[in-house]
Amino acid sequence: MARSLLDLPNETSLGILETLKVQDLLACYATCRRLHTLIASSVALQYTIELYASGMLDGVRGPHTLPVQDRLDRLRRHTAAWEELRWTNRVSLPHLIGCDCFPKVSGEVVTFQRDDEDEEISSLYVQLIPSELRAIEGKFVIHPAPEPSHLTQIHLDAAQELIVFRERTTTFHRLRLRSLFVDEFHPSAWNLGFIDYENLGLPQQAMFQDVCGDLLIMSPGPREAYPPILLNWKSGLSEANGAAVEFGTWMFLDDRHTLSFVVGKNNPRQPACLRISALAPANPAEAVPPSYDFVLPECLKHNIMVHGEAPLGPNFESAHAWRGCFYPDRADRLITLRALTSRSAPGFIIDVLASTFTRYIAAHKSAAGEPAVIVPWDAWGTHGARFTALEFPAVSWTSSGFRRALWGRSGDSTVLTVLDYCPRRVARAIARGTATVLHGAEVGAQYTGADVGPLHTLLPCIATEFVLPEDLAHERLYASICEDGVVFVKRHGQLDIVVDACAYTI
Amino acid sequence: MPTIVSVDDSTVPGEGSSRLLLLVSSDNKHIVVEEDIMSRSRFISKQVEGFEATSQRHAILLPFSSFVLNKVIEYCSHYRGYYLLEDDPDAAPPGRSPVREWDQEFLDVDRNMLLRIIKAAHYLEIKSLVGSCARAIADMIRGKTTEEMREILGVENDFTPEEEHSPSSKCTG
Repeated sequence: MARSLLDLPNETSLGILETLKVQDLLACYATCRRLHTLIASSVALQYTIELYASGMLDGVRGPHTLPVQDRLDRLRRHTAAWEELRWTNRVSLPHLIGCDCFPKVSGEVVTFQRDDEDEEISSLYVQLIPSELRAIEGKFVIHPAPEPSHLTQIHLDAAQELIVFRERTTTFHRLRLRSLFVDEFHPSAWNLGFIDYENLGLPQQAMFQDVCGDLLIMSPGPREAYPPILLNWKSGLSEANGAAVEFGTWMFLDDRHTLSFVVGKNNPRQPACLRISALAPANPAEAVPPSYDFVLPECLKHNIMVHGEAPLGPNFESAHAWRGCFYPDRADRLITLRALTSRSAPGFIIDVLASTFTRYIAAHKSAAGEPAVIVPWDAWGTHGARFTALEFPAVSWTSSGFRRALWGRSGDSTVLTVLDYCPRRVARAIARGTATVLHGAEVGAQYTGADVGPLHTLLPCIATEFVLPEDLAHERLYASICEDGVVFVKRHGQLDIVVDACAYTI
Repeated sequence: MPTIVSVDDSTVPGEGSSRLLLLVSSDNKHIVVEEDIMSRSRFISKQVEGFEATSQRHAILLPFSSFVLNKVIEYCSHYRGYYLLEDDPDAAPPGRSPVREWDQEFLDVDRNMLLRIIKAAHYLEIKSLVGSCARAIADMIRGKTTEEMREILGVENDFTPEEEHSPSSKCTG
């Protein structure tokens, strides 16, 4: 019987793979699943491949390899990128002419739709923003709708793994999931796989809300109170369970399986209210570990338990105040809220609510077995920080990213503010004296400092002011903060879209 | 060769002074070999330590054929009395050592044999031989296409056509 490399222990196979040059390693990657997995799981091999892909590998000549001088420059830019905001690249995208949709941004990937001239069909565009700093070539793929339909509700998940959109025709609405493969080593080879919504057994009217990891959250029907549907889109399992929540807008699921949503927005008799729920195992015997980093069982037997409820504070008393500005951060439960102060004199209040919510829940759960703990808004001051009263005359937009909040320009000002509370970046900025450091009091936090735990690491923050380039200063812009920087999309009438990535971290 | 250090002749025990081991291969061949020759194998060394602790010696059963075993014994005999860096557990190899010339000739066998030898070497915990085989196998697939590699490594393409066209499995490098 012919022997194969697969008969060898992994350790030995890795010994062989480690002696290979990177080109041979890449060829080996594609031989079979087992070797693919083996190479993908080896940190040392992945490191070699990453270095090669970014042109930084010493002693190898390849299509990507950069001269030593360029490599040195790139390393220096990498270090400098932490210290200041700056434009790294700008691309004009002529093929996007006619696109008219608020794009969804995740990392350096932008998705949007484009309506064709007859307005019967829209196509899905996925654009990878080029980055010189990260050696990413700009690429895009187009997914034309298979039949005349409109695409709406486009969503791209944080892992850049999945695009969710609705297809709408005169006869049906259909939620589609499309998986996105982006290969940084071979950016020409993009792919859009797809999973059809029909196979997932969801109600026809299900409204997509959010996706995080394997989980999708949807509200099953319009308007009325229904329990949300949780769906493991990878395994196709779904379940509607738990307490009914009022159908609301802005339902967000984060990677710790907490769910934030707003209720009462459409109900004039009830003040708008922010709720944060934790998904917990249905069987109480399966206690939630204190760390709260539990893995959902495949069967998705979950109840949704409301653990906290916070009226939205004085700025949010009026339902009219809402302008669709609710931005949860997926890292530390930082929630950015934007409210219109009054209709007659337009202005915005921005609240950034940072909460150690998961830890708080864990503490209370272990206390008395109470299933739900209602936390009034004011009490959040001791469990979170609230940066209120940063008032802008007319803020264009605000957005939350990974441990970061971006506030847009106000009025004719061309200055953007980025609030950064990632401890590593804050520590660096303090050490180098490169950024304005804001302490809690300066940003108006109801922050008492006692028994707060991780919030000590949230504050102080660094607020970086970022000046828009001259030619973008007076344009209508969409901006979105993401892990790699700020992505701007300029709408030049209906004709052109310019995408800019401002990378200020790697 | 920097990795081979010849031990002073006087410290090499003369033939016959070493005790004998009985090795039994998977095809039930009984092979008698001097303990000293096989001391390069950590596995055998541990067995011998066990014998000394219990004062009982018995045959050592090995899960590979006499053909392969003889090859390994040939290797060990060749390097008898030599200090190879990889086999000294206290000395981490400073880098990848080149295939020793003798090893290259010794391992000039077909790929099946090579894979059998490396598996046996792994079982017997002879790091220097595992390393030499790994380099020999790497040499075989150097500069080959993915398809040729499958042939040499004896693996089958088990990607679905869809996956094969997906970028994470398709490589042009």
